[in-house]
Amino acid sequence: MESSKTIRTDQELIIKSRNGDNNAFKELIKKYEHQVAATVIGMLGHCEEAEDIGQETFIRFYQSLNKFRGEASVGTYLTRIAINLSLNEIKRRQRQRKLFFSKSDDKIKNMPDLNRAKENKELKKIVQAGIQKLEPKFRAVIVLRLIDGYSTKETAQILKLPVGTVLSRLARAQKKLKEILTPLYGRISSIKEGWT
Amino acid sequence: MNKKILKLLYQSFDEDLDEKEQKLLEEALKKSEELRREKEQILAQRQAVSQSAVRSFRPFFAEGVMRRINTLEKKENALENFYDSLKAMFWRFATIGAVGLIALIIYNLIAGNSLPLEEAFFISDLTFEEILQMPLF
Repeated sequence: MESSKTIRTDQELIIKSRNGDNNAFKELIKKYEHQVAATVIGMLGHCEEAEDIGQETFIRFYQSLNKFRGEASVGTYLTRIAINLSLNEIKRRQRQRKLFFSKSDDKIKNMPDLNRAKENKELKKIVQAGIQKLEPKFRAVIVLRLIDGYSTKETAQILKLPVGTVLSRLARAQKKLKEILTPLYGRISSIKEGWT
Repeated sequence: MNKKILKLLYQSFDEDLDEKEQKLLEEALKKSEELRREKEQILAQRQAVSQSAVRSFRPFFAEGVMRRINTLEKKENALENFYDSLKAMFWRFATIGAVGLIALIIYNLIAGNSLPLEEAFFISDLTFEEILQMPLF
């Protein structure tokens, strides 16, 4: 039996969007919203700017619909835009911070109360804040590989880096993250228990 | 902890090791309690990171994007309309000018009863000095 709501492929949705069908583009947004959210929020943290960058990602995609030739999947294409916009936003923040604040502006100070850390939400926030402490180049590989679930090869393609560089950055990023999170938990493995 | 083994351990989560490397890592894991603990910690951390992801924006995100796209398109259209009306105005003036010029040529041809182009455009063969010396009235 055929469903009343037809599931359309990305290619169909793109063709319709190019022809001015706004509903088709809206369908694309809904389909990839979660993926873009994971990338942007992973890179910038859960904040107002992340929402803006998420919207900007789809607007850029809309504006380049005619240039999109389908060499990469829609998801990968959007992730590439999202990562680039996020990295630009981080640079903007760093410039602003240099202008207005001292170096001690440290996000880890705003971490949630560790006494309540056993709750999943708090744990998530702590790990997220830990990720935000990483340098952008390390954060990008962590987000793409561990949050978005891209392979190392795909991560390398998105970031336009050699696979070897991605692998070494991944290892260094995980070591750094462990250094950040370990003092807060004693042992990282306790996080695992917290998730269950 | 052996740096080479630790590197292999991290690498093993993201890439297939070759047979020799795999064997080396397995041996090291069998021998070292510390390395086994390290492996557990890496695994736990990776899981924690992947589960920490926030995978949604605020409600009505798609509607927000479409609103921004519509606003941008409206702005672009307004600008386009402005240029179009400028272009249309230019063509109107250009047409009026061209018609006037043609009318002038036809008038001169009829009034002068001759075909030379100089006369058609009231172009005189006088020199600039001669023109300056001519009486005004």
